[in-house]
Amino acid sequence: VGNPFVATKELLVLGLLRDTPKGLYGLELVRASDGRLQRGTVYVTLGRLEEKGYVKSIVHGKSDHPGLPRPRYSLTAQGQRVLEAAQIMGLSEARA
Amino acid sequence: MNGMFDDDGPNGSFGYMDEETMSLGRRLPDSLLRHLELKRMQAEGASITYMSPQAATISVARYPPDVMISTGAAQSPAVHARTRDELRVTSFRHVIHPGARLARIAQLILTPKFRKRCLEPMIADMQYEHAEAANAGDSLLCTFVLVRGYFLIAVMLLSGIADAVKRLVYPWR
Repeated sequence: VGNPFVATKELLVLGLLRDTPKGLYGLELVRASDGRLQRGTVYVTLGRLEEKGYVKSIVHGKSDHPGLPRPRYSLTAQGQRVLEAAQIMGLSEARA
Repeated sequence: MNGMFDDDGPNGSFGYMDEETMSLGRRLPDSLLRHLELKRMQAEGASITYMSPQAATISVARYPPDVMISTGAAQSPAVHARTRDELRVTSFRHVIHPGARLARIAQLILTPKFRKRCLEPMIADMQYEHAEAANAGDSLLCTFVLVRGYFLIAVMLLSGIADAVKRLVYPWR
């Protein structure tokens, strides 16, 4: 992919988040990616996207299980625009 | 002692008798006492999740959020106490959530940004999957989840260190 600003995996994540306005957990992203995203790297990718402002994470105060609460990730307006641009450019990952 | 609560507990020899019940001459079964104790803790602000009729997981407000108190037929010894405080000590066991110690150590050595974005979500996933496996009663899956979780965290930390070293060395080339 000849895009210097968004890596292939990052586009894939944006594509997966597109159809879920409520957002997805990291594990749900891994499951939805059919093996293209790994458990060990998904949060690094999501962290980078968050830094770029394409993705936002929401942590609910109350956890759904004993322990730390899991963050839920969703697209920002900027992320949506990047995804649309990637689709227009015909990048396959953006159509995930 | 043929009262309504005439039960000697799981081992057939222990029961609980506080001053009130002693005066009534009745023994209370362990299961009922555990239930009542949980109710009392719930009233104090604890949130209780019942995993099975015999076991329950409780998160108590007065403990740090990463401390879980478990009770169950397999875990708790037979209640053999005379006071409520003794009952609390003998019938409950503190269990630290998997990854909680790691999260505490990480506070000392990792940046808050890295912890919030990478480490804590991974620990939260591991705890979530561990709780799911524990609810299903699958101890083998519990172990697998822990081994996989810690392995992935170790890999992520090592790759993070390698990345940081690379970034430090690169300008000197």
